[in-house]
Amino acid sequence: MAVITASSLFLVMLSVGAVQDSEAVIDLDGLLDQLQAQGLWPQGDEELDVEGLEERFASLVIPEGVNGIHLRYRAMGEPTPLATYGMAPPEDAEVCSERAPTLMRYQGEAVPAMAEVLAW
Amino acid sequence: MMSKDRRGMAVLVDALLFLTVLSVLSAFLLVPSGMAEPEVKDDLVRSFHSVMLAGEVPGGDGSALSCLSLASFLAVVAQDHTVTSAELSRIGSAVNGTLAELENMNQNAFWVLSIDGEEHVFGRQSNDTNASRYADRRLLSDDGSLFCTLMIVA
Repeated sequence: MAVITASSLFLVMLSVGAVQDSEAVIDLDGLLDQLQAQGLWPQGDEELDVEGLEERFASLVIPEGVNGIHLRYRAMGEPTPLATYGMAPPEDAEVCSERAPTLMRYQGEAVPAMAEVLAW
Repeated sequence: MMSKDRRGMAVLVDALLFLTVLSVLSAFLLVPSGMAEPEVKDDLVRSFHSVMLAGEVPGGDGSALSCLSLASFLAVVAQDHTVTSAELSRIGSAVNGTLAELENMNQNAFWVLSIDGEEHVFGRQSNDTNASRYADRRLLSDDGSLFCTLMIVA
């Protein structure tokens, strides 16, 4: 009986953990689709032009279920960003992140870069 | 009394078997599968290589070669069937950022440029034969004399 009870409790804990995780996850794919549509995320071989990013970010409608996003673009291998948009996430927020290589037009030059997004 | 004990034991064993099977099944369903990893790595190396080849080669002198993408620059350089040290230096400047980015992502990455059978390696080449390797090869000339390979060793 003790073994059965312990096994049942273990299974319940596993299930609860799985359900809680699935409820907390942001629809990152949906967010990336929206960022792509807005020209803020790499799509195929298209360049992202730094010049127009601020305007496009200002007109971005944050999807439901997302409290905030932070976008960062930097040259490959460089820690210093070329551009950042949005506030940094709160310390206690559960943050989802994604990054992707992209070609950026920066000061007239096509630069291999990384696009990074944080969403909470 | 004895038959009641045996029936009780039988029920207990059945229940234990059931719970064991259920636990194993739950663990199998809840633990993420590693099967998708090779596809992710292939996409990773392909996308990084595409961006790297499309980026402009830095260090230009204002000449016509200054504004070329890496792929175009390599095609022009390969027309001489050899590459100078200055050209190698510019190529290195163009690829080192991408290799550094992959290294920062805990991926051992190196890039091999082949011009008329002569190979030039950029980055830290891994000789670990036990590791998985993911490669993206691009043919940059019609006659096959110029191609490059971005390799990730995981």
